[in-house]
Amino acid sequence: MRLLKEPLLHFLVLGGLLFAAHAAVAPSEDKAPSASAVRITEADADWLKEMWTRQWRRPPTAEELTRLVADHIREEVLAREAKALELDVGDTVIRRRLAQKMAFLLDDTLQVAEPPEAELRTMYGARPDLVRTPPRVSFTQVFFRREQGADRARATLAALTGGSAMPEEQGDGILLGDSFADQDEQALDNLFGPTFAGAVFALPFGRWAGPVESSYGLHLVKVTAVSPPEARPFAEVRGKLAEEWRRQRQEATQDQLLKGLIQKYRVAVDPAVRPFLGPLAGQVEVRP
Amino acid sequence: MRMPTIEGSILAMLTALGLISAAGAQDAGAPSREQIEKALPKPPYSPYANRDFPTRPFFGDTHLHTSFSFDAGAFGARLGPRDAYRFAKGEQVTASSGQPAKLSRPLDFLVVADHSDNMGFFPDLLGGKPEVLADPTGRRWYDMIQSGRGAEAAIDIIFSFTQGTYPKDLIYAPGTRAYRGAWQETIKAAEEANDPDRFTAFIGYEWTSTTAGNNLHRNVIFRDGGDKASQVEPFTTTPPLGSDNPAELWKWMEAYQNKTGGSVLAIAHNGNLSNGLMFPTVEAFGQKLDREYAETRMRWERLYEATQTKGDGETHPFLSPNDEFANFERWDFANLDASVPKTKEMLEFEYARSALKNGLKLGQTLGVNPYKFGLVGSSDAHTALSALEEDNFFGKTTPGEPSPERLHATFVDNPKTGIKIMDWQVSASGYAAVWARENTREALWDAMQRRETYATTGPRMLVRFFGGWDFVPQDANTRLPAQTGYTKGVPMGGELRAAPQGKAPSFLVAALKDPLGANLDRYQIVKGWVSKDGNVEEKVYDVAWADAERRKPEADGRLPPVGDTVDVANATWTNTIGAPELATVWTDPDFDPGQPAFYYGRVIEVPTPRWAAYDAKRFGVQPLPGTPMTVTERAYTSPIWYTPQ
Repeated sequence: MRLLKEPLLHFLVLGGLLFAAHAAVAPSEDKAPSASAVRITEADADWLKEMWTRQWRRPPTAEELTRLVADHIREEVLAREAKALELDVGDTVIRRRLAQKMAFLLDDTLQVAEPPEAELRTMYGARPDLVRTPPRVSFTQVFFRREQGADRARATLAALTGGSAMPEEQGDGILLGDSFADQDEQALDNLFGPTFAGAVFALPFGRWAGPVESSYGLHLVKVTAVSPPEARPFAEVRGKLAEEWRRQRQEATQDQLLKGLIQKYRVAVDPAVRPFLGPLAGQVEVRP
Repeated sequence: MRMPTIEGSILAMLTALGLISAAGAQDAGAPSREQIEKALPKPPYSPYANRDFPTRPFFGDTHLHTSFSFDAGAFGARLGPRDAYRFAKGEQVTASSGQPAKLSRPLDFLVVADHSDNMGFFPDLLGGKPEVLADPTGRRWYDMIQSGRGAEAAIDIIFSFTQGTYPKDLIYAPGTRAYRGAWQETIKAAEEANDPDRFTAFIGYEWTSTTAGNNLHRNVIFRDGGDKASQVEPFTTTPPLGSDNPAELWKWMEAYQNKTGGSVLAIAHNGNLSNGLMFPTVEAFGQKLDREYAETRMRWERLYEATQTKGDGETHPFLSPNDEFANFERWDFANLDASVPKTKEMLEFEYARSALKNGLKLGQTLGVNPYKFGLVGSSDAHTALSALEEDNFFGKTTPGEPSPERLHATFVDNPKTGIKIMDWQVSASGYAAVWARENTREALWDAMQRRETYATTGPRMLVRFFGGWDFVPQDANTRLPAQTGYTKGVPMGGELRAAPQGKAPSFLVAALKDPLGANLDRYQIVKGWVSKDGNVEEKVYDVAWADAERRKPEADGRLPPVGDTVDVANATWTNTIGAPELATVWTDPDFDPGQPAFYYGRVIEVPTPRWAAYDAKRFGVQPLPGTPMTVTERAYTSPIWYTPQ
């Protein structure tokens, strides 16, 4: 059994297989391509120049172009030979790349459709998530570390409610600062931890309230401005809606297309695979 | 937050008049940010009016791969750039491994940086086919589209696909836009995801130079939108079209800016896998290092990615034997493909701290410091998922997404060298924090360019670092330390010049824990300098720490450890040790005005469970011997440099 692990044996067997495959696929001497099977056209050369220019932002010199052409020819014949030996068959990377290429092609083709204005108008009414700005709040706060925070916060709140000015020396400092302008819920969550934003948005306007708890401690908060969510004008969100319309359309058509291709290639599976078909169950044939 | 500021307008005006260049304004001898700030009128009485400095950091990832990366696809990644942006914005997605994934909270920005090599495979369809419109079907569709009946054409085209009657030549037809490549898709995904003031989606790519397995990778980030970025193809590394020499990438960057009037920057990463090539001091690619090399490198590479999944790059115990926190998430086995083992001599040219030190010295000999870079962290994940929290770590590659197997799996195994790296060695790190006034491409990019950034190994702690000549201890106790910081000094990434007679630089430092994360152990300042006899030196100072009444430095100057509350078996910890906030003013006790120096802040969290502990607990798996189960997360600020006049 040791012999089976011998690299030299692997090499010989693989080499033999390759040779056999080559003999089976490659044209024999007398059928060798008489005219050029690989032709480098003027357009190809122009393309090589163009690609070079795109990368280097200048046209190639004669010497560089010579190298490009040589490289292109080398790559082309190696690729042809590899294909002739069917080295592309069963190669996951090549298969994936081809599938990706096809997917891009489909995506792009589907993009040519322009959304009808009426459908965008309907969407404008039906999708507040795309249309409305998030609510925003501005506020001032006094922070108390958790240690004896509750008592100190209550005392300060009483003083503030009694009409005292902004307490310069009350509370503790916090690196986040004391005043916040036009913050939405996401920004506040990121700064103070979860639940803080929700509590602040629920506070009364224009007077000191709290304490509100954050990840850092307790906060007395005075809401100074609130901008409720509002619908942005249609013209402003039209692009976004069109994008979404295309995305939906693309998804639906892709599904449809994939169904068509599955039929075209008459995809069949072994019975053992049946349990794993999921949503494809109705589309493919199960054959023993 | 959206308010345009006076300073911004002045900068913009000066730039528009051609009086200064926005990029590199600090180094060019043109008026610096600080000088412009000083020239401005005094601030108003109200401390809250016209606040024109960044008040919060934005967190993101400058380095994420998706299925568009050749190797990510081969690893099994199925999610593309669009999914990556959706996930970063906080939406739930299904990972390539089939499990649901969601962040604890959204990120503020993301750069999808797929490998340029093998990315632009599609555009070659464009060329060499000028005869396309000769195809009658193609002509018909083309005309339909041109005359505004695109939807009709699309249906026709789709039908022909499934029927197999699609004319091959049409695939290449201009006008159907059917030749758009991965690059254009990448741009489009960013354009769609970009939502100024809420989420920034940068356009970018990775230039992946790995000749002989030595990692010289750079991520290229565009300040611009698709109108400019789509005018170019990413620079690649394979000759003759590309090059593996960073100097050629810099030429490409310059050409891009000249052509489009746009702006790009590059961030190098994983010097630890470059086998001594990332930060050369003598020569690079056969060229002797000279002033031009230093100037060019500094023009394009103002930041370095100092921590990521393939190991931490701040420093190494061999280079920093007196730094008790130096041994952190270390990957020092070999180069990227483990084909050549590491030797100790290579280390000096691989890590951020030693490069910053050597840069000071090169600044003296070449006249310009080539390594005056700021710091960021990022993921380099190949999963389209920027999920770097220890309790929510989605690995570096798709096979490394959460599973009962990953604690035992192999990451790289090179039988030739016998070097084997296990999945448990992959680090759940990191993110980039950027101090910008608003969350837009322009504001974040400009902040990166002026190096007002810091690296974190995953948590989102808030870190301030200001240097100046006049800070006094009370400055750390004001309600708005940042206001004092910007008024009396320069922020991280800035420079100090012309030491006033008899004064040493002072630093206003402050840090606030991640609202969802662990308390802080200490704030340290790392100093590097060139001594009188021309040697490079370093020292780590503890400047602020938790529980200061009880924890006093030992006789040898070391601070006792903060403690450890981690319950490994249950993967939990408590915030009963450490402090939520640290702040102080520190003055360099060893300052010599004749010696160039840099200073940067390092913030250390209290110990918490490492991702391996969460895996062991949730999957009920026994870790392999030697697997670290706790971690001390940290942040590294960009340095502030002092250069003698």
